[in-house]
Amino acid sequence: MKEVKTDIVVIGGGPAGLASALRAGELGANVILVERDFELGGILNQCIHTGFGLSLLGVELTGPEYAETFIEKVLSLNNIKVFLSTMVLDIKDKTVYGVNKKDGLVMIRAGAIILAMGCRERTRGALGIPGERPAGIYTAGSAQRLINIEGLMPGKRVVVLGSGDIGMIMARRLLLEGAEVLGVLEKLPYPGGLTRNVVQCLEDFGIPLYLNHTISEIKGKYRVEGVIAENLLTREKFFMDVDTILLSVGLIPENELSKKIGVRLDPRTGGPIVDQNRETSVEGVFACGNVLQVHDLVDEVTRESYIAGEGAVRYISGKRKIEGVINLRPGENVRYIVPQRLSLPIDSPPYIYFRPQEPFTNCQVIGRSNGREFSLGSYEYARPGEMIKLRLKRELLDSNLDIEVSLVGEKG
Amino acid sequence: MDKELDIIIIGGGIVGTAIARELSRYQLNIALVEKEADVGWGTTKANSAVVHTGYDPKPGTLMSKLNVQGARLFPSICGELDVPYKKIGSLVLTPNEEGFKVLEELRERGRLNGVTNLEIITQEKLFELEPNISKDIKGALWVKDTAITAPVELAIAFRENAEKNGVRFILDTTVIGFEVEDGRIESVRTDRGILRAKWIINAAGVNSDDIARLAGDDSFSITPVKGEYALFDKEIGNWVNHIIFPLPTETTKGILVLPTVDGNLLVGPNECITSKEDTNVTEEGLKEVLTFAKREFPDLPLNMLITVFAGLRAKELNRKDFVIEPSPVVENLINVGGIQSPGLSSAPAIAVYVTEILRDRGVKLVKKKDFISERKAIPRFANLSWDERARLIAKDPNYGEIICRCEYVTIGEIIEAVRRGANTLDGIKFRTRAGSGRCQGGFCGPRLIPLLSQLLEVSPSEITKKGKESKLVIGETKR
Amino acid sequence: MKILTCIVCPVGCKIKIDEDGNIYGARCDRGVSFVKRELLSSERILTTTVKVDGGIVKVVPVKSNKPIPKERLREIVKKVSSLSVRAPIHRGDVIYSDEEVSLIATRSVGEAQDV
Repeated sequence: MKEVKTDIVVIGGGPAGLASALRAGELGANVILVERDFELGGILNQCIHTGFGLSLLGVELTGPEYAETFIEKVLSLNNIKVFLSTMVLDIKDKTVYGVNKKDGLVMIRAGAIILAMGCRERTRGALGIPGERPAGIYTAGSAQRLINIEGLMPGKRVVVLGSGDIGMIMARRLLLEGAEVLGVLEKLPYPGGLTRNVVQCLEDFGIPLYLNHTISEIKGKYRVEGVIAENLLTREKFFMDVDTILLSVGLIPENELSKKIGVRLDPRTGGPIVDQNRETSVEGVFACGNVLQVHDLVDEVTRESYIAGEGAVRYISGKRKIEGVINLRPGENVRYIVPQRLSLPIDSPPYIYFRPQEPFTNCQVIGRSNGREFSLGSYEYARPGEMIKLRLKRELLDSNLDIEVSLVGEKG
Repeated sequence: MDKELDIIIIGGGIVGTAIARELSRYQLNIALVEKEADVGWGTTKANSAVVHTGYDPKPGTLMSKLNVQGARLFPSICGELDVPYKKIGSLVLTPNEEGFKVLEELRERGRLNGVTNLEIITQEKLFELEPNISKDIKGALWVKDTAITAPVELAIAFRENAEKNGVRFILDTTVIGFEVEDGRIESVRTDRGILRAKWIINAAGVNSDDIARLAGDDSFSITPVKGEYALFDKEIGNWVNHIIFPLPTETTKGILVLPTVDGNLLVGPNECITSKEDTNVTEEGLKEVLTFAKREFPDLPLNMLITVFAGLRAKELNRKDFVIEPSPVVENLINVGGIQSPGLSSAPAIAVYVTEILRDRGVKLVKKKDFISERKAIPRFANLSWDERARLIAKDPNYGEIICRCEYVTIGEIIEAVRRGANTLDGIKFRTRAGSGRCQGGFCGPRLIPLLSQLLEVSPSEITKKGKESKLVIGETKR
Repeated sequence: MKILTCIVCPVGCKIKIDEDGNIYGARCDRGVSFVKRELLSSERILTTTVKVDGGIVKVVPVKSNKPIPKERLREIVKKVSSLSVRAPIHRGDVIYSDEEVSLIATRSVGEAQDV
């Protein structure tokens, strides 16, 4: 077994892993970055569309360009070592056990761990969609990998179930590659992804978006031979003649490793419970990116990962002290909040991320603590598909008591 | 395909492959014909994977005899063939005091069938054995010798071992007719050509009556009875420690809750008479299964569901027993039909029983001197110790590269599976577990297609999920 | 009557344009100018892939050097579907060029090691 020692080990070489390793490396720590694929970049490598980097870098890049920008920076630092094609199998205390072809088993002893494993897609099985189990059913991300990395075409006539961003992006991609896309079905009365994608991926190409619809049965013994689509309001059913089904029905933070070391998870996000430095319930273990909460924009993943990288460096240098904790609780109409707690002392009020339970108009975000109430911001619109980021108010922190964040406004 | 064989076995399920392996002990020229691209893809791949002890079947039936015998053969067969077998015991629950009478009847029936190690336990003991069970359950019959196994793996092991001992497996080939002359099958017509043999063994599962009918024999009839299942994440694999049965009814053992040998949690099956093509999972069926499980295990986390599937039981409703006998119409045809539950448990004994029928009919059974009784499974990286892993990688670095991230399956295992005959994604899945974890092939699927294309030396568009029309991609995006 | 969904902000106003070019339903001026721009010419940056020979991946992602009229996107993807380029490729390399469009590599692709 190959044994190595380092200050910080980062698990996952996607955008979160790259940014947290980069920041920790820039601050002088020795870092080992472990990636299971044969190259760095993670899911960005298959996101060949544009829309990345506008808010962080001021230019609109494609996924691979965004990834390569960070990969180059990471590789330019001598104190960051990268293990590619290396799968982490286990973590015990601060020791990470991995495997690869070249070294066999690898044991990495570290002072701090940053979890950046990203998320996985919810599958057909998890939804229990009725029908047969033929070939031709892909999650949107798997289809994206097939087309954009392997150069393989999944099918000719496609229906997309779920209007998540990747689903809509793949609807356009398949159409551009010559497939016929019969529609996108969404069980909710509003789309799951960004409005920008509804317009540029569906409306631009006349792909119908069926709201309040689902697939009630999959036909075909060997290959998909069609689906029965159902209008959930009228219960009307109709047949769609397709050979391929793409699923874009949600992402699940991938925390199997986190659980192995006893990191406490938030059932609302599916990710670890963290403080403002992205430190989890296990001391010296940090988390960032989609393993923590499913983001809309990679720019925010990068920002969050910088925080985790800084936090990990502060931890190994022995400068991090926790003198108290304030819990942040989602109140009325708020699905979740990240971070879930604040470690005291706090120098300046941190940013929080959250999503509304459902769409709202003319709404206000209210923070409550110690019987006092403060407006944290007002929004003309709030959508579950678009994460809200805002800064807490200093006054809310004064009493060192728990804070509840709510959203009030008109529904719809 | 012209040379006359001694025996043709029709059907490569658990029964057909068990017969093939048993007969491969003798100096016989045997072929097995299977309509799917691999063995074990019918009823074998969609059942509860339980090795019943045999307390349940009606005493005096063929079913009770072969179940008890089969269950006794299981540990040694699984040992020889390196297939998982775990004796975890089962519990038949009663929700009320009256149920204890039924449990006692079952225990008595077990005694008549020669099954021991049965104990009726109280609520207190039950909660100790199964902490997650509903507080409404009053007690249970504890059947300590019930086991779980891996049915498809066993069929694959039977095949590999039978092949090693000379049996030819003709896959992806459907029997479409017989040439019958003077009450004898002269030749077997398949969609790929004609086969000839002295004896035909019909082990065609739900289609066994159709096969018999093709030879003019309508002495039995199969009713396909669908059962739907829900499979849960390994994270809750230890939700139960035993195989949990409700009180049985006249026709079924009911909906089970049990761990699988791979550590998942399995719930099912319900029961619904259907057609032979129907393995649809329905909304109602799934609801029925889950609602039932929830009654016994109120806190069962349904969000841990990873997949649903359905299988068909081949029931002979008139005889309510296995039909294992020479055809009354065709002299050289042996029917092995109606192998419903406990068919898996009985399979090793059915194989011996069929061998005896052949002997009775005058087939000369001479043991091979060079019969190989053992078969080794593909190494499972995930189940090995760190030392074993290191040794394996040192021998072959492909065992250091993981392709299925949920089940920790390595490229080395995929290469070995292909070497042993896997040529589809499902074939890989059943041999290695790649794609059977929580992401259901989302991660490894797109990587396996090019890998299989490379290993099998065919274009990616020829790679299928499960043979026939189940192509995974239509070709390259760029020409 | 034409309806466009505004993408200037997350609100996503459904903005209507009648036959005479009157604009309704925009909640702000930015929406009005968005619609005017869209009506004038509806152009998008094209992203697709081009086949790679001898690379560590089978295809290289590319983007157009300028926005392309929407209705031409599918045609251009088809046009370059038979094209192939040899690794190594560097991000920023011009992979294809004609009078209508240039396609620029959006990642680097190293040469495949012998397998």
